[in-house]
Amino acid sequence: MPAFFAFAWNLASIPIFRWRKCKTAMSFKPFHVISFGKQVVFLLLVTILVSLSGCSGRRALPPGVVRLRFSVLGEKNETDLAQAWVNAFEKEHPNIRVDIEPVAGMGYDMKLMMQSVAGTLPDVVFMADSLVPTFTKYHVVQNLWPYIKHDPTFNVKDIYPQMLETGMDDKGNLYMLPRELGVVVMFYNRTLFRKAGLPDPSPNWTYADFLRMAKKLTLKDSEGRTIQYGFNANYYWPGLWGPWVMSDGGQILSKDGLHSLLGTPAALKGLRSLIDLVTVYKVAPIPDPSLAAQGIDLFAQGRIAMQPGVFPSVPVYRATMKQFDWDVQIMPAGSVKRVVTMGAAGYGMSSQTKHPKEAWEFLKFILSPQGQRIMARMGSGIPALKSLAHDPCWRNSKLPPKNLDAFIDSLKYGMPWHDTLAFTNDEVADIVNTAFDKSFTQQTTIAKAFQDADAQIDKVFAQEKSLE
Amino acid sequence: MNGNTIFKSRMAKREALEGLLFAAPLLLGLLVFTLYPVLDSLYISFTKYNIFTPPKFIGLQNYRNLVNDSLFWQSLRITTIYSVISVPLQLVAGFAVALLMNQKVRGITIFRTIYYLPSVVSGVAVSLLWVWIFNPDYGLANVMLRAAHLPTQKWLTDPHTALGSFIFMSLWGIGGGMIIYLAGLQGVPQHLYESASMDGANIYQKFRHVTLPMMTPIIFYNLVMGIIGSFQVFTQAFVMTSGGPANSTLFYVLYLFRQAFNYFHMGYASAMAWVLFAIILVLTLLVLKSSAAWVYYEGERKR
Repeated sequence: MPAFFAFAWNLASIPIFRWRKCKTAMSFKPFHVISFGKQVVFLLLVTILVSLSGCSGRRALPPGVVRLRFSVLGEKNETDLAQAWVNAFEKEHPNIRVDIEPVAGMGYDMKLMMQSVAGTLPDVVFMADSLVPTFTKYHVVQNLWPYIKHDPTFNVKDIYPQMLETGMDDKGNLYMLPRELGVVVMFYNRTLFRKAGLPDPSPNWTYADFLRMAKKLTLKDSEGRTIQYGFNANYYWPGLWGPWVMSDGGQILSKDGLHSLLGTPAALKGLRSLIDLVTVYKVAPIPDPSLAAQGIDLFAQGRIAMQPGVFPSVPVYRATMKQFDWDVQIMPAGSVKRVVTMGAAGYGMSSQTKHPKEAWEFLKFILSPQGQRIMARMGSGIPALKSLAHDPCWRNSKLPPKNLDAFIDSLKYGMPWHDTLAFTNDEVADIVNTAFDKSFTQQTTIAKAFQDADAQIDKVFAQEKSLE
Repeated sequence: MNGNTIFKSRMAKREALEGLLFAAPLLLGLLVFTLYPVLDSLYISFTKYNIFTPPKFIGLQNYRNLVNDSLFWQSLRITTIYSVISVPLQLVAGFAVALLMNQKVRGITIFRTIYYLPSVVSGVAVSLLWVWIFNPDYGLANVMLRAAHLPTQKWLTDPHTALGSFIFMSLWGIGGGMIIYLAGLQGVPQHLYESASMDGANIYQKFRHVTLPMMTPIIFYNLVMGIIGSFQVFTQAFVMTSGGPANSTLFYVLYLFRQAFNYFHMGYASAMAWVLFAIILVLTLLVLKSSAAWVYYEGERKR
């Protein structure tokens, strides 16, 4: 602020003012009149020019053509995917133009919510399962069932029901059309398995098998430094610790959704078996979120033998792991059952759109076999349509992984998504992460860390409830 | 004569008006984009506000909640520790380097450039670089420790060393202070050194009684800016640790940012901002007050 003041102050004493003083002294007669008039004209011109240039950035629209605005994440693979869809869609629908609006990833939800308040929402918006609650709460998107019901050409039954569920609120309203089949599977490095004399994990494997393999896959050098880890335990992801808790019989959220149950004995059992991998068995490195932030993937480098992941990692590993043979398997079963994280990215329709018919056409196109094949060929996801489960669009590569069925088979073990959702709230996630930090650095006992977390999380839940 | 003065004052008015008109874009910008948000944040700090629904006035509740928020105290504690260590460290290190860079050696301009270069690099890029340096398994820092047969550190992944790592890393930015010291050093009049030499002063005495007093205004400036800057540390922690592990690097502004833009507690965050403003204001005033005792200005008369 002081800098601003100083600048304004200086302006009054800059040479042009002094120059004007001299000028007036010599011939002050015409100067006032002209200067004011010219100033106004000049300002007007500038204003007009600026506003004109603002318009010229958009493509001119022929009569009868409707323009749709389509907001997507700003990452290159996302904008490429959007562009591929738009190109194919516009060819089929000459009366609709789709303008892509990329938004930098970190501020995406924030920007959409602001646009919602300002009444400037794009017509079709990228979403993810985790955005469904907030986007619903702030009226960013609208229920899609009415469109589905009135459109006999759209076969909603072809979409995996588990995936459709990720786009619904607890009343069953559908706010997001899932674009993909998203499940978490275990990626493993077969080359490292063979070097350790291990067979491939079987689809029926358990945590006990998993731990046994992880121990054999953890290697040390002569000075006792670990040069290869069996597993990567990324605590910062509810998609990892959620199933770990549930497969040992624990619950993470009370039935009424008001209480976190991470500190209960059943949940602690699962959390302990996950944290022990770092602190007791030392088969996994201390999680370091900064590595992921930099795009450093120790699995791709062959420094980690097993790592949970999703399908969009497949093209990445195909490109970077040429010197290794690798594959995927369904996640191991816990002491009680097998639980797998599901989720999906997808698209919703703005609650403020003036062209719902055209927006629906575009959404429908994304979920059509044609649109789905475009996405699958680009490696952005497995088609969300059951009819494409064995389609070559995502099956015809000669490169690993061979066991692509693991993705489809995992659906049987999909966990109730809504419980995890509560833990994707930023404030709750920070509390849980702190509890994990404290556990793996052994600042407190695991039980104390998560019982403390429960108390704090319940406070956040109560606060949210009071806002509704 | 009378007419002339009237005419003059009219001209003066006109001139003042035009002056203001020319300055108007800037003044308006100041009012709309600086002063208004500042005052608005004061109002918001007395409300419960999540951006999407209208603010609800709750009086001093946000400030009362702050007192009971353990993370608030944690962030304040961490930021204070960081400031207390890193500000003097940077003052001394920056001054020392500036003294070296003030020597008349061949190619000194190249050394000056090298030492100043790091402070030109953007904060995010520097942070990403240091993430690698601090990596416990493959980082440069541990490679060097190992080569020297010293115990390796966990750096950012251990709550006990994470803050220390940030303080160590803050030395990366001494170039900015150095360049200001250097400008100051070059401005110390040579005749003072000459007369000191005539009085038989040795190098240490010259430094103690000529250089140091003449540099006090610069030290003062760097101290004030250092305090203000260190209480606003954000980028490094945001990029490198997101406040972890176990909140051991949850700097004040990072916590404020989380409250505002992750949790949408705008009222609470505004209250935090005003508390921070008060802290920095008090510290700056203290330094200002103390300056009479130790800062020397040329042309000022003492007692």
